Amino acid sequence: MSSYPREKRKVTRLRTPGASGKTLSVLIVEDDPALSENLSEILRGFGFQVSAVSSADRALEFLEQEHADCLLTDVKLPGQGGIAMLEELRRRHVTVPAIVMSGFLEPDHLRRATELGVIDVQSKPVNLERLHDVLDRLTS
Amino acid sequence: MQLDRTAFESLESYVGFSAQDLESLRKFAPVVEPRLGTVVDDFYDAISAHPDARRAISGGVAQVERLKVSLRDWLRSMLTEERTAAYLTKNSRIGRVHVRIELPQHYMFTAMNRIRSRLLETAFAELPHSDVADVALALDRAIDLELAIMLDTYREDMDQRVRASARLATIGQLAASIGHELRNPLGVIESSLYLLQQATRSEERDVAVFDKHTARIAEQSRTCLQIVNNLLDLARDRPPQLTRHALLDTVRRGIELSGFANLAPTLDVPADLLIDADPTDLAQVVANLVRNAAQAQGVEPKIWIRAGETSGGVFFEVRDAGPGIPHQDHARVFDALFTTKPRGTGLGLALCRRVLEAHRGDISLLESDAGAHFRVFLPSREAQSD
Repeated sequence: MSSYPREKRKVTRLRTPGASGKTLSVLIVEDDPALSENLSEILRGFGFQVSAVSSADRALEFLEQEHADCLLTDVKLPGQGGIAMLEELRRRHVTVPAIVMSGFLEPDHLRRATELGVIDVQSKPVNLERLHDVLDRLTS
Repeated sequence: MQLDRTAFESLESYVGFSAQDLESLRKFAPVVEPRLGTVVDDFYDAISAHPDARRAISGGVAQVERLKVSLRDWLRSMLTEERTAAYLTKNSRIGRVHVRIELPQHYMFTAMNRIRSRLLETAFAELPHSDVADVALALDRAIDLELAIMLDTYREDMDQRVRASARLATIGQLAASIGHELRNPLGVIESSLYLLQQATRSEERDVAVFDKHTARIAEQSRTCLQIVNNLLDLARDRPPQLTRHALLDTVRRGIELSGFANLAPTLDVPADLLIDADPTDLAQVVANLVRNAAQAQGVEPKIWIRAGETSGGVFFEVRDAGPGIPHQDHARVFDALFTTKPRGTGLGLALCRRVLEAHRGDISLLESDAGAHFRVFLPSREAQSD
């Protein structure tokens, strides 16, 4: 459990919402319901506003209707994968910073992710401290 | 595979090596004997002169001396011995030495040519004029045959390397697949533990939160265990322990094992239907099929299991109401590491096939308009012992 020291959490919690005074909204795209729920709960605990969907298609639908400041997406998803979803977003000229999570990232995926302007790549289990830092940077 | 006797014989006839040639070589053998030392020295001088070729000989002077002895033996046997199976085996072994020391193939070629030239020179210098032509031709044919044997050992070595690297690639894929598959439940466990820690520290001490996360951790540990079990089952290679028992018991046990007993599959399995099978292995097959069926479906999953007698044994089928398996994937679903699930190791069905093969049975994916439809056939004990 070394990935999220307690002190850090306390401090960061006070800092969100960020300098702009706006709460950062995160859209989680994860097909494992338990993981999705846990991550939602944790990010809410960090002070972010969280929505979650279980597939790339749902995420695309969601983003047509609503705004998200950041995407936290799995690579392996039923149907279209996370990377393909990011490519589709780019085609639609939707710019959302994205954090990619994966159990195992193939070099190919990693290259495409970098090209698509992914701001962080996390292997599972997610390093919560780093996740918080990356999201926090988006706030300020 | 060593070059076999038949292949060697056909090569012999292609090269045109005959009993007559062996006769000529045998006449030549005593003539060249005093010069063999020079031929061999010349051969290794040429190798030592070339850095790339020299690299193959790492054992220094002592190794060169040993190699010289075996080269001399080899020359003697080429000039005197019948081309029998034993000859072929012995000379393949010599070829293998060159492969083992990684002498590049083109050096092996030029080295053989060097030997050929030295032997021919000797023939021309020492033999009566009338014999030279026969001996020269015999030498050419004999050395061509040796080259073929050498090349074959190189090919054999290459085959082995290709197989080894294919095996390594599979192990790599397997490791990646298992690693990936374990990370997800581990992700849930870690995040649930984090939330549990938070809950412990909060003043509310919400029991519902504790319950939810401990249940979640337990469930995900089971998933990890399942992955590991599947992997170990696939690695294990023991013959099935056949016992006669009611298929229905095994089906029920398999449903339980699958972790989806709550879906209450519809069973149409006669209670008195007996099978001769390993109950543990077969329950695993049922569990994998039920798990696949459950995971393929969204809300309100439906699973049907039907069984009955058929000619030569018993069959059972597992059918679901999911999206089915795309036709182009039908041929590959039983391959290890092939998966259509976003989360899957591709071990489940490979394991099923392996179990059924061990039972001399069969598992197949049937063409279906709706959902996936698997059929398992188990032969009767009489048929299994045939």
